[in-house]
Amino acid sequence: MTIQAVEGGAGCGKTYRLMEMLVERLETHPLSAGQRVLALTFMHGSRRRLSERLRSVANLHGRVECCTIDAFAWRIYRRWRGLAGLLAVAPATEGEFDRVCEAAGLLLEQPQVCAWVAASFPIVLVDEGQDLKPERLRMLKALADSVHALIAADEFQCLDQTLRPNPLVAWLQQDAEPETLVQVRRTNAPGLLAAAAAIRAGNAPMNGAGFKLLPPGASVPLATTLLANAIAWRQGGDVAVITPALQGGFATSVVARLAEGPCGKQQNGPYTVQWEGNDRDEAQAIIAGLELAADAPAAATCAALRAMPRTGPMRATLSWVENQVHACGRGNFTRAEIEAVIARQVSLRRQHGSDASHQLRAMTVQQAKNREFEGVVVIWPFQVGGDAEHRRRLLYNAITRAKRWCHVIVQSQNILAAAPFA
Amino acid sequence: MEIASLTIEKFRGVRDGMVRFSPHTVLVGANNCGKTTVIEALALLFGRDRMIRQLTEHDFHGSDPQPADRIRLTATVIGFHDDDPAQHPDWFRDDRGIVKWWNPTTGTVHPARADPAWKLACQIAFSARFHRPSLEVETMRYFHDDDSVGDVFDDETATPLPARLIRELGFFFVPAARTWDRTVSFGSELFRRVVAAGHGQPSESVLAERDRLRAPEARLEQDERLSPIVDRLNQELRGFFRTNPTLHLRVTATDSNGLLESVVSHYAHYGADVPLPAKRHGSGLLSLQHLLLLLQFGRLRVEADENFWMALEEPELHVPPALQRRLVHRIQSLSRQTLVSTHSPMVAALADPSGVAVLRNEGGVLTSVPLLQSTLPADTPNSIRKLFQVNRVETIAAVMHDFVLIPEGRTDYEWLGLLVRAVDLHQSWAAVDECRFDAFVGVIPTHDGSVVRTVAAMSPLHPRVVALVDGDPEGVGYADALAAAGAPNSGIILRWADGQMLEDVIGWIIDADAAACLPTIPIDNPPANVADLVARLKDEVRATGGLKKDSSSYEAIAGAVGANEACCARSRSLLNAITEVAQGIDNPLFVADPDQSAIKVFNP
Repeated sequence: MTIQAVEGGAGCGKTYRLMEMLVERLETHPLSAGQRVLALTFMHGSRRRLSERLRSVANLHGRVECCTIDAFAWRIYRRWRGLAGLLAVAPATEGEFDRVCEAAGLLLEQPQVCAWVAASFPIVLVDEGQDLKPERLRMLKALADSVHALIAADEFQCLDQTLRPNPLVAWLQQDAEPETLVQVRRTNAPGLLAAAAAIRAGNAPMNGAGFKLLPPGASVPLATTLLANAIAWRQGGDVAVITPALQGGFATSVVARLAEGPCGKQQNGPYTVQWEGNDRDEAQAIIAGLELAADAPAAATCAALRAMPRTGPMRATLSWVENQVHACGRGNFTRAEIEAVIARQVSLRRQHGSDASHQLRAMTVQQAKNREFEGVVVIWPFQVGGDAEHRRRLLYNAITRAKRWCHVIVQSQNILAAAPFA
Repeated sequence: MEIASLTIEKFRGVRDGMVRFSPHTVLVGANNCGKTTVIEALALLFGRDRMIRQLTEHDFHGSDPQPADRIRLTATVIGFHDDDPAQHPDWFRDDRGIVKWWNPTTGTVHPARADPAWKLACQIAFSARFHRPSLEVETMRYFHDDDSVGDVFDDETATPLPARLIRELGFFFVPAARTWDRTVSFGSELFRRVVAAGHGQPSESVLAERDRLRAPEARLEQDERLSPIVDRLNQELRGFFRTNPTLHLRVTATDSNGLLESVVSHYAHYGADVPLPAKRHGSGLLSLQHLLLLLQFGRLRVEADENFWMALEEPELHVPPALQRRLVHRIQSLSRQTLVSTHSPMVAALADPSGVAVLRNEGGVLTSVPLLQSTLPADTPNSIRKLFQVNRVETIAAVMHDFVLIPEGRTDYEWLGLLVRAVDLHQSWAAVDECRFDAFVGVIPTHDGSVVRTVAAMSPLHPRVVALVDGDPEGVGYADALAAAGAPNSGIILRWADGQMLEDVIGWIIDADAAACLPTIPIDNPPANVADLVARLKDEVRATGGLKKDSSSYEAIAGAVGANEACCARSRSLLNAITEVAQGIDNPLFVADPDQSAIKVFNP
């Protein structure tokens, strides 16, 4: 069918433009009964944010399905398993994301499957398309034949080193005529705009209004002081502490130190900066408190689960165990299995829960994607890997999260001599 | 849209079963073979919520469902316009069913279309499980994607079947227990829907009647005989209640509900003055009123180009054969698809033979075998054709038994029937007098000289076919031919003694008390001895007293046999012997041929 694409740097309003294009499309091609708009993203965080934006689109009245592309692939695969078997696709389980996406791509290339999807979803919206790996891109290409696709992408924001040159951007430039947005709307601080443009062009970023490259804080106390000062002088608004790499622990130490006590001459602090958890850590924390043998009968398993604090994932796990006992007649459970269920419940809750709202947060560049904050402090340690291009992209993605100001703290002078700072 | 097939797993008496449907299916089978189970399965799958009663443990096969046990019913729906999913977006989309293809030749469902003759299909399933802690049965109706998808109650999300689609399918069902006497009444949902579908305005009529009942012209409490009591009551009440309540007597609770509940249908025959309530009329009228009302509803739906399927149990109930015919033909022409289950071979014979299916339940496995797979090929001999056309009723009746006996010809068929009747008419309470032949063995009216071909034609329809041939060279030839072909499928061939035919066996029966029996036979020129009778039975020439193919003489002789105790006992022993041998039990009257064990020779 048709593809409408929009390209542009970070903060140029691509998502906003997507919404506009959607409204235009709905005017000329309104949805019939039972049809909805399908919005696909790569990560759950962006899915939630996109869902919020879509809720306010006129003429839509909430008839939208927001899904990660992996979840969508699993849906297609799950329903068309029979056809997949006929096409000699090896069975895949829900957690094997790449294989499921590959199977879904193959299925979507069958006309009857594509027509079936189009019957429900005549319009498909994709934000952050640059992150789509080949299997997922294949799905999108197959879909684009039967639906009206609205796609937003920015090559420079792709942090996957295997996707260079970016296959989706190449496809869009060939098959669609993407609109290019240039005006940055997220911020009007000239220093930030200049720095972002510089990094994108491959040049060294310079200090300016809103952007400051701080003198290297090689030691943790010094870096902590710089961070504390930045937070203290922020004049309101939230702050994100973003680091491109957690290895080496530089960023973690700095943040930990910041919570301990006042720092530096001005004695700013202490500040508690909340790390964005990831699923694995949270699950591990819970599992650590679980007292269960490697193999346990149902009654003991339930007792052990009930003894844990009653959080969402624990209640869900308990209910799963009870269902297994009563609906499937199981009598024994292994610890490994229970741990897997807990991990899954934790990740499900994060997927569907809302962003925790703290004023001060710390996260990786990956976690910061597609979000915006009033102020950003980038902590750049030694151990940032990848080639020059990759590091430029990391820095670009980090500093373009800022609306008002951004400070960058590097771990040593040597770093400033190489890309992306030079 | 129509239903093409139904699979049943672990539901009531069926552990595993598959039934294929044609546009007008008639199911026949012995009692307890699963006819009602099939219809109940359809009701669970397609019935509107009111039609589904609460399931209990006995609905699970084995009556003791464990946590992992499931009832699963799967139906394949076909008949989509142009076989194009795009024309049916409310059936084929993300939150509904997926596209599948039905192969009409093999009756299987496939994910992709390999042949343009295949039809677009959607599969719907119903699953239930027993929750032991709460003693409740949890059920789910959903779109069936693939056999490899696991249990819908275990984490896996299933796509539910919305109520609107179920209504669109328009499935209606008339069960065997036809006891409603209130059907043609506003209290009946069916009646209201018929009137509404025909653009009637029942609500306004009801409200008008309600208003009339609230303010009747002749008020009961003002009747001269009642008013003094009412007045005195009212006076008493004044002493207790400040609000001075007064008594008014009204028919019904004067609200629409009360009115609807109280309306009783009455019928007047021949325009009589006083109509009688439905309950007082004959069972025929009672039985038919619901059915005919449903037909009206169906007609309105079909006229509005909506779907209408009807399942009807036992149309033969309460009505004579002519009306049974009218009923079956009427419902078949007025509905898109019908399913009739019946015990009457006559009703079954009314239908197109390719739509008649014999239902069989062997150890929990349900099979449905169509009487005729498709039209008979042009070169089918007349002897076989007759079985499915002129003699359809007898063939269907025979196939409904546990065993099917195929004799050599028409004469044998007649004689067996007459002997059975004679024996049955003269039975008493003594167990030794019991004849089990008629209950278990059905006899086919074989066309003369075609026993081998008839066995071949009947074998696909029934798992236990037994042949009965004469002891003459021709009969022995048939027996050898059958044995060589490994037929019949029960592995049992009965043969009269060497050189003997059925007539000789009749002679043997009469021989039990020839002196007393022979004179009582009411035919011209009664035979002097048994040999004479047998000779005359084999002789067709009427001039010389030949009795072959003379049915009234046969009846006369059989009557005499029945009346004579010894002859009757001998007939009974013969019939029971045939029954036992068919069941695989040894009986002294039939001895296995030493050369071919399949052949059992009569040994009086």
